[in-house]
Amino acid sequence: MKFDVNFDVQVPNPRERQRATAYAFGGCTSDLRSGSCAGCLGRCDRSFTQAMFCQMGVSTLISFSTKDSVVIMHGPVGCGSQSHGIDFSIKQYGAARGVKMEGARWLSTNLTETDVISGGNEKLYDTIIEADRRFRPTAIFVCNTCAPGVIGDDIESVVNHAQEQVTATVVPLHCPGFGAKVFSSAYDVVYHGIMHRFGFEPKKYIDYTPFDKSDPDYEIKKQRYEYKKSRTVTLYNAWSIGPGDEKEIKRLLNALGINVNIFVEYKEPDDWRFITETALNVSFCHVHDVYFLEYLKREFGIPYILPTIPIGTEQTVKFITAIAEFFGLEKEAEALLKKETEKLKKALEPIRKNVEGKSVLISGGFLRIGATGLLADEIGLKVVGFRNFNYDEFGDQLFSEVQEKIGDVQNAVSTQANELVNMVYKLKPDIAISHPSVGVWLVKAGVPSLTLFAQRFTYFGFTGAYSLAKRIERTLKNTAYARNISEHTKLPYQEQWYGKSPYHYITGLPETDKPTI
Amino acid sequence: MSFIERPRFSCMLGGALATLTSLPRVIPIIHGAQGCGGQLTNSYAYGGYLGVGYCGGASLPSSNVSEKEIIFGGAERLRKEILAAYDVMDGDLFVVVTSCMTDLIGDDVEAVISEVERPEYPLIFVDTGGFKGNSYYGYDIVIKSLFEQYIPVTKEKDEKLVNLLGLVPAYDPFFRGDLEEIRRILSLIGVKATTFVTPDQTIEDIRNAGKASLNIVLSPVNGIRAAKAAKEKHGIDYIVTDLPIGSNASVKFAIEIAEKLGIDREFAEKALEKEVERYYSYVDRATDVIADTDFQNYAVVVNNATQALPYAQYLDNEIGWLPEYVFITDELREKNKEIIRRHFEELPFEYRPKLVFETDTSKIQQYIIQNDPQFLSDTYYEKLEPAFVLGSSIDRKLSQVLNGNFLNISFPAMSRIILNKTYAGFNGGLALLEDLITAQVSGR
Repeated sequence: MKFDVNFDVQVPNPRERQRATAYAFGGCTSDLRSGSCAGCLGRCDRSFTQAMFCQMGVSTLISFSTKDSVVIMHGPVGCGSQSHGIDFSIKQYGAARGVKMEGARWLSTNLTETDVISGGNEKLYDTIIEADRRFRPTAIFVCNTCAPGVIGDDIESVVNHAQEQVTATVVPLHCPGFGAKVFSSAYDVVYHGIMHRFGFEPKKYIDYTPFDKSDPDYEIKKQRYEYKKSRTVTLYNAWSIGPGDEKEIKRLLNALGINVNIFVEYKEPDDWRFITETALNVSFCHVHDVYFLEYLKREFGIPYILPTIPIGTEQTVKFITAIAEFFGLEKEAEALLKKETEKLKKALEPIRKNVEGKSVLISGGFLRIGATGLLADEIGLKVVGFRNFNYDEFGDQLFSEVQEKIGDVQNAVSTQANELVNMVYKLKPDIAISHPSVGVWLVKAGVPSLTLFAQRFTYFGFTGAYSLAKRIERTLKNTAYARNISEHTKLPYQEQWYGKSPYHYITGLPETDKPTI
Repeated sequence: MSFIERPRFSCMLGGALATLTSLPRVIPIIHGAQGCGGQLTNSYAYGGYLGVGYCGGASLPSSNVSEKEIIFGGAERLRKEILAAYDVMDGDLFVVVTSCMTDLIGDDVEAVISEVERPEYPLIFVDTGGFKGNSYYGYDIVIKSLFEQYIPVTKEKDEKLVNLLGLVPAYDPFFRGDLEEIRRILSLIGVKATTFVTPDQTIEDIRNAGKASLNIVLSPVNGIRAAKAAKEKHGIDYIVTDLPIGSNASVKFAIEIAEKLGIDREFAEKALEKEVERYYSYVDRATDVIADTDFQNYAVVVNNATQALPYAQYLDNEIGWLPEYVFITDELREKNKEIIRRHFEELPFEYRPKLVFETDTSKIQQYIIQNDPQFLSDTYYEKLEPAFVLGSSIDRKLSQVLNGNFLNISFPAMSRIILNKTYAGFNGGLALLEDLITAQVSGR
């Protein structure tokens, strides 16, 4: 699909406006797809809402995963206070990638009532100066929160002013929570900040020494450099993508003789200057980074493709094949993928026997859950429903495959726990696969749930498919925990709620003749 | 108030949510942005992996105000949200809490509340706009509001019933176990206690809190507003005392309360005798390993205003360690710092620590490094050795710098899960001794 976006604005549009991303829907896969094509999903909203994440929280992910960065939460002391949890994980998953990370270093400008009345600019300025002095970071990300957002503090000018005094590059992130209903808008906000503040080309005499024309090896050196670049693909990671995932996809592409670079997390901004040393950009999951890839295409002429997310046999084959095609390596890819597919198929056989016919509900980001559904189907599970955090046309290709393979099952767009437990009450899945902080409601409702991503396991590619299948098999081997807790805990919902449709409070749903639940 | 590095607390709304989700069958309704509830739940989770609770996280009704409401006001959105919550959510008490956002828009929440009040759904409003204070204040204001708006005023007082205040869910990570242990100690002298935020509490217990004859505030700074409100509205007297850790502190605490309640001192002392004996018969058999391995340490305590001094007291008075530094990490007004300083001067210490108010983690480390080591010559220098850091998960690095041991006792507590574990009272004193020694032998 055509991706039309204007990079010259100061604040990128939230996705619900930028690409009509939906955050509320209830129905079947076919209705979801036709709704997104016709643009009517964008009209859906809710008259009863529950708490979730905001784009400010999600903005901290890439910010913290940038090597040796500091993050400033410009707001009251509660904004970003969940960041303690990321400290351990960036150190651990950095180490697994061979990168020593400092852990989560952050400051809150700690805005008080007085600051909100008199403006928080001065405090922000002081905090930036101190962040640089105290930590000597590579980058300082400034997350703008609701309070300064509402009173209209001009953080750009504070950042520009402070930039003259500090060594680190200061990046303003316009991410007040109220500014976007679709919280994955955060990725556009962070990439927007990054693309406007950093360079993406190697610097002469700093990063490289130009080849000397009088050098007798000039031609061969030049050719060697150009050949390598022409055989290089760059992949883009994100918080939910683990070191095992990167390793697996790298393994497959390396086997085809393709050189692989991975950006932007777990790299320092100086490394980002090598982003353009590539022939092709590919998104692991374009929910995260299509905004940046489009920018790199317009600015530096680097082509990109969005094949799919490499989860399960079929999507992995598609992903690797698409990249191989670009480099003219279809035949080599076909041979490799055939061999890999056969090996995996054999390994999945015994697992299939143990899990076949069990029903599963999958909840999380739309590309990951769609592909996970196909993998679940591949090993014989019966997918009874999907619950997307949000949804837009970028998912239509994948979900048309999902519909074809799995059938026209329930497919909601929701983050709400009330809708989730109502769905579970009706669909009665044997198991669920869910995004962090969703699983608790499933398990309390009696459904064993495994995490949609857990960076310590591999999820992508062939070895990832095996790993996930094993985790599903393991979870089903003993479901006593979910049974016990559900028998002894009460969910905060009235009995009568389960008698209604889970989509009861969703407004503007398109007319449909399909049975609802 | 200055900027803070890695604050060890969240905002007023964050503390209110941690408290409300720990109260029995309470449904909080947030009037705020969509991220407040989700992310503040993720924040209180780091109080020893304190889960969402009955109605936290993605189950929290939240008006999720966006740009539209900022321009046109959010009152109508809140009205609809409350009415829908009545239909969907199952609870004994609905509590509307606000965020800094909605305070800025200036919605008239009171007006909405009076419009949607229904006799069958008890509903109160607590103004918790983010920038008015931190999570400790959020706790205080919730309990205060319960006394002011929800707990019935009664003349009938139970002279053997007290309320326990001051321990803030999540931000005092052992709050459940500690409150249960304090209640157990009080029961030894025939006193019943309402704890509000432990899992056994019912809404009737909360409503009966007005019958108490004393509010015991276990913190020099938190819970005092609530106690004052209870005094004003319900005529309940209050006492501010330290959280007791270990045998000596527990006996002192129980006697203090007994005297306050007019319980015979001799009876109280007698009642505690057996408990002290039991305590020391356990300590007795720890003495071998302690004596044979030289487990006396220099200690650094990093904790909030409620807990820091009680831990230092335990280390010094009860087990004879050397508390070198006590860092208090919450953001306190000068008046409260002065109260704590004065209290610190009065406390008996064999080895008096240095008391430092510091919110920023890297500055705590800097402070110690600047004072230690002190070179006496090119061969000899003084340093904290052996060192033991009792602090939050983010103080682990300090223990590594000091080449010492580490125990996670304060927020953020991510190095352990905390359910009913206590470090307070008699049982807590033993548990703490166990863990302080276990940390030193766990590699064996």
